[in-house]
Amino acid sequence: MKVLRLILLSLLSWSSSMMTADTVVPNLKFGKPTDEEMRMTTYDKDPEAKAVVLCSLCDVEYNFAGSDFKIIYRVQKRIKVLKPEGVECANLSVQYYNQGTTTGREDVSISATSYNLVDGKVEKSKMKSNLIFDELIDEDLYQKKFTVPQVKEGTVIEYEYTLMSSFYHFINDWYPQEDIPVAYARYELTIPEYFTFNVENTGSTGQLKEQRIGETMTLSVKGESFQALANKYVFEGRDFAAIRKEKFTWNTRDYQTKVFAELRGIRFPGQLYKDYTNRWENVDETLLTHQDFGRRMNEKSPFRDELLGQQIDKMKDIHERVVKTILLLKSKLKWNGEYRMLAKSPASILKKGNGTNADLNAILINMLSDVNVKAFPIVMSTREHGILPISFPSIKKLNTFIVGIPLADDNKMLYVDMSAEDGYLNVLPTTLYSNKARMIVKGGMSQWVDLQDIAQSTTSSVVRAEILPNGVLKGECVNMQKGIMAADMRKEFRTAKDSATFVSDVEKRNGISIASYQMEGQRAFSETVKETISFVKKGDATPDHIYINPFPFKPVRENPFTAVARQLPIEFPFKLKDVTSVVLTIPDGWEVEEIPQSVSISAANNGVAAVLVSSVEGNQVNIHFKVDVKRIFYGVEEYADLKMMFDVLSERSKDMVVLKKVQ
Amino acid sequence: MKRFVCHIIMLFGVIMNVKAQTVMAVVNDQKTQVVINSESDYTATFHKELVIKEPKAERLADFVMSMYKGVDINSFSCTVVGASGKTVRKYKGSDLKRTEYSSSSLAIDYYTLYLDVDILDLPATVTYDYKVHYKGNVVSYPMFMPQNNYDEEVKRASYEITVPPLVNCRYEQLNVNLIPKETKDNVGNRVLTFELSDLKAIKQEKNAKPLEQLVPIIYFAPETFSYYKTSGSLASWKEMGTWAWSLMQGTDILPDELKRKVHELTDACKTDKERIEKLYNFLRTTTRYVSIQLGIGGYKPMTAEYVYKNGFGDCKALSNYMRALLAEVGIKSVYTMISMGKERLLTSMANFQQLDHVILKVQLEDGENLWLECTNPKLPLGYIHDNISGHDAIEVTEQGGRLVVLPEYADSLNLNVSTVDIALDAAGIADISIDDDYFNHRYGLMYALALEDKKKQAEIMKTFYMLPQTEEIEVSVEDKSEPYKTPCVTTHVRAKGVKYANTTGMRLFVPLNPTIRKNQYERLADDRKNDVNVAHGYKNVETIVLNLPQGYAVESLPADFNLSNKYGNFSFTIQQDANRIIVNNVLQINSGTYPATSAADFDALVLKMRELNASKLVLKKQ
Repeated sequence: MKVLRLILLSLLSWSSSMMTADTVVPNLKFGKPTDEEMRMTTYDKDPEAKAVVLCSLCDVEYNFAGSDFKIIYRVQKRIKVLKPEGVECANLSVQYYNQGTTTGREDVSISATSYNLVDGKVEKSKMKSNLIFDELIDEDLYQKKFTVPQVKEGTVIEYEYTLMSSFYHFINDWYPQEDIPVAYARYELTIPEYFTFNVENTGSTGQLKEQRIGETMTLSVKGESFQALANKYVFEGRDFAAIRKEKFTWNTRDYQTKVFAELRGIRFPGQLYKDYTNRWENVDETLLTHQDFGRRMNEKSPFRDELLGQQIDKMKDIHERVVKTILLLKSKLKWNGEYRMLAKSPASILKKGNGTNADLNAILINMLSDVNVKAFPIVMSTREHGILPISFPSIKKLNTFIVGIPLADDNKMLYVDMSAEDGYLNVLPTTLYSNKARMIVKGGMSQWVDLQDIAQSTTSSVVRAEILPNGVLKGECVNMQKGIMAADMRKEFRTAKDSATFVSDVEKRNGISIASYQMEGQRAFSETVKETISFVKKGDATPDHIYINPFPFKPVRENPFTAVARQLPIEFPFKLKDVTSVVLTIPDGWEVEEIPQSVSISAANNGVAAVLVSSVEGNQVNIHFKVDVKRIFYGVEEYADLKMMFDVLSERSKDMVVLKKVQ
Repeated sequence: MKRFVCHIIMLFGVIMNVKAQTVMAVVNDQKTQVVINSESDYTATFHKELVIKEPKAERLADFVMSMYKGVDINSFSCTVVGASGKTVRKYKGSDLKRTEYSSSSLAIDYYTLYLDVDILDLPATVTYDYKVHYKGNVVSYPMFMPQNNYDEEVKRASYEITVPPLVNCRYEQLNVNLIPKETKDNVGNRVLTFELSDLKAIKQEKNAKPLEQLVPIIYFAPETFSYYKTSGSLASWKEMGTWAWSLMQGTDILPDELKRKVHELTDACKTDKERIEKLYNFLRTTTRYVSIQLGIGGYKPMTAEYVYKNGFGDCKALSNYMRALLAEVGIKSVYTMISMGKERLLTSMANFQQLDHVILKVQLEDGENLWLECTNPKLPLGYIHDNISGHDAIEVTEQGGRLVVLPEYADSLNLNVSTVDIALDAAGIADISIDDDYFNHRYGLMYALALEDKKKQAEIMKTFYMLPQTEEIEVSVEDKSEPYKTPCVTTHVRAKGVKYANTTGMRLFVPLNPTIRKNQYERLADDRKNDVNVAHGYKNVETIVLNLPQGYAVESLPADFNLSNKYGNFSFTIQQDANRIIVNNVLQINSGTYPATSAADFDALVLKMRELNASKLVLKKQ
């Protein structure tokens, strides 16, 4: 159930061809699809599409209802089903919040109709209200599920919903793209003069034409009508390609075309202007004074007596104090799998026994204070959640915080987070390595930090083995994983079905048999995990030749980049240094005929570099293979280079040693 | 001392026993007490003491329960005792959370209560006590199945059911044969007690029967019941079928407009087969699957008129709709209830827990039976898919229910024929073409590929075969199935510029078979505990032609191979014909259940096939 929300979040990725200018006037009138729409069988711009959104309209307006403002979203869509698989477009849902109060609710009303061409005539089927169902998802999040009748290949679906929201400080982002192509999309946003918003159109996956119009609008307050000025924004675009997933992009929405609106301030008639976060300093201030943020960091820690009882405050080394404090907290409370920005009261968390990373991090900051370690919250948007907007400071875009601990010497920092179940100091879940995070410090001392500086890991593999006359490679391999790779390995071990399965997966993945397997540090709170493995790897032997690949663990098993071209930048999870050293002893009566060639290569402006050095000394073959991924972000233009690099690396990992019988 | 031992382990790490089976959790004590007040009113008191031993079993501590109208949960409590013996958590009824989320249905009329229990240190003992009152619409009583997880041991479990004289409660045991203790309570009710102890943990293994076919289960159900203003009997499948039949009455009336359409479609047809084909096609093009399970709608099909009006329904509604369409043209068909998970049904116990799907049977003029999957009419007419072939099923007619068995395809007819051609150049780059034909259950595994778009098909095929680094790939997938004929899907892959062979110095190392990945396989024999179960046998026939580059000669070639045992047979031949290498593979696996001790024979067949096909030819520059 913890993952409920995660399941529901649709993870979107994208790829497309460039937008082509088109001036065909779309049919904006709902209730009467055109003859052309009824008869179309394929969508020219994407002949394989199972369905296409012909027209997607979203109007957002303010209204005064009851005693407060409301935002009204009116969404209208016309979809053409082009293939039998496209009928799933008729199963729809709209999510909404209901906190059970008049200031915290959203009301949704829905209507839908399908149009089919039957014997040359258009047959209309309206969705009845008994096909709309409410479903509670979690806490205050609900969805209305509905399904449109009479939908088959060829159907035109029209649906419309109105969502009336009391959360008038927030305007939802608008994305014109969907997982099926969109022929025409238009967004209209009308904001009365009392509200000042930053409205911005970003992204590179499609083009939007923007228009700003001054308007007057009529608001009715307690029976009286008011005229108010309003800003109207109109965005429209055509021929948006279907969104597709690409590996190594954290959040496709970072690069996708979108419009977002951000509140800067409100001035109601007869009231003073109320400023909303428009500078990061304001964000700092808001956070510092927030009941569930700044104030939480200055509370009494619930474990003070235990910390002092264990004399953790008396320990000399700051690292030791931090580690012991984290371990104590881990033994008391558990992370519930969620990332949050605000922290609940320690008392309520204690009662439940678990909490979000924010809940636990806030308690940690207070505990660290008990042992005389200064620690500060570092706020961010996780990489999965998306990059912070460049121009507009925004509290709304932040979704969590981690803990930063300044060290006395040379401005160094330690970073920790209570969601790092398998990590260590500076070893965090990779979604937290944001390149733009902000340490919140009182007195205007807040500052930006780039967490990708510490997003790195090293691994090494040392192999000592002998080649037997029957073509078998037999020996021992010691693998050391440091940092993030160690955490990954712990996680893999923790989530494997059992230790036998874990070992047999290692065997299968690498094509070796394992006689004994020893692992150290797999449950420890430490930087490294070490594996010591006795292995046997089969090669091929004929009476006069032995052929064997010298790597029990291939440095690069496979090129992760298989697509010919790519549309989105590449964002690796972290930087990596990987070193493999192999020393092979060859059997008596045999000599070396071939070994992998020595080579040194680099790609993407030295973003990735590798060296392979091989030599034969007496009856020993030595191979040293080093791969260094030095950079995290690569632009689309570097893709071909990266792909080629990994091609070579995976090829070199398959290289063979050939032995020949001495005559 | 304990602390010190822990420390040692931390220091020296863990030497993993590659063969060990871990017991993840132990049910120390489970007590279920069911008190039947009347046929459709009972209370159930649950007590469960579970020891969580491994981190992976922590989720077993969580609580999940479906709630619907007439169900009340009261006196809920859960305590967690940590390794130290101290109570570390206590939960009560108000801690239960609620969701209505359903991923598969449009609408359901139950919601889920759940509790995420946090375990901080291990072992932890989690104890649940709760009481549930069920009132109305009772068609079964809780089943006795104390072991419902792999790697879980059960020390002691008991089930007590109190039955008043006026209620006839039936029960049936599966994978166990207990003699219940029978007593009378002070008001003369019959009290039956079932006890189980020391159930050993079951390991989850590939090619084993599912857990529910391995652990003891006892089903309980009232002999007669009332359900949403209807009443029926579960005395036998026949009786249960009578009830199901009664629910269907009046659901098959077609609107006049639809009747006209049906006749327009079929009046020109000469045979029933043609009529069925037309109507099945009509079903495919005008309806889709949408699940709505509300009230009696959990068992009663929506009317044919509803399906016609909305263009959708669930398995019951769509099967019943098709039945009505066929009836309109004078073809009799039978609504048939089946389980997709269970091959066999208990002959002596009729209940709802054993069934989860509905299909339609048509008896053809020539006496042959046709089984229609109306929920997925994308499947070719006549194909009995692998979730139902060979399964028991219950036919529902006016005579009531009748147990029948669906036919199964012969192993050798679940066929895959592959033709591979590789043209290799001196740099190790190859042009490769692969053609595959899949029939019957092999078709069932692959047909969905035809529904993907070309781009996706190409991405899938790159990794399905061993063609990750390919300059150009052309893929076509064609569903060649025709009504009443053997279902068949064909794939053609033409890959150009594949980085295929590794070059080291003077040699080329050429993978023998680029389709090897298609047959992923795990060894079964390692410390095998469960019998080996092959639900559907199959046959693969493969021909590979490798064209060698100029100026290279073969340095080593594997030998021919042939192996046959009770699991099937495998033969491999390789020959060189000028500059061509030709490989023939034939692998047949027979369906059946085999003793665990013989698993190595299965491995021998498949692993040898993999080993030979994964081997590399060594070519040397002349």
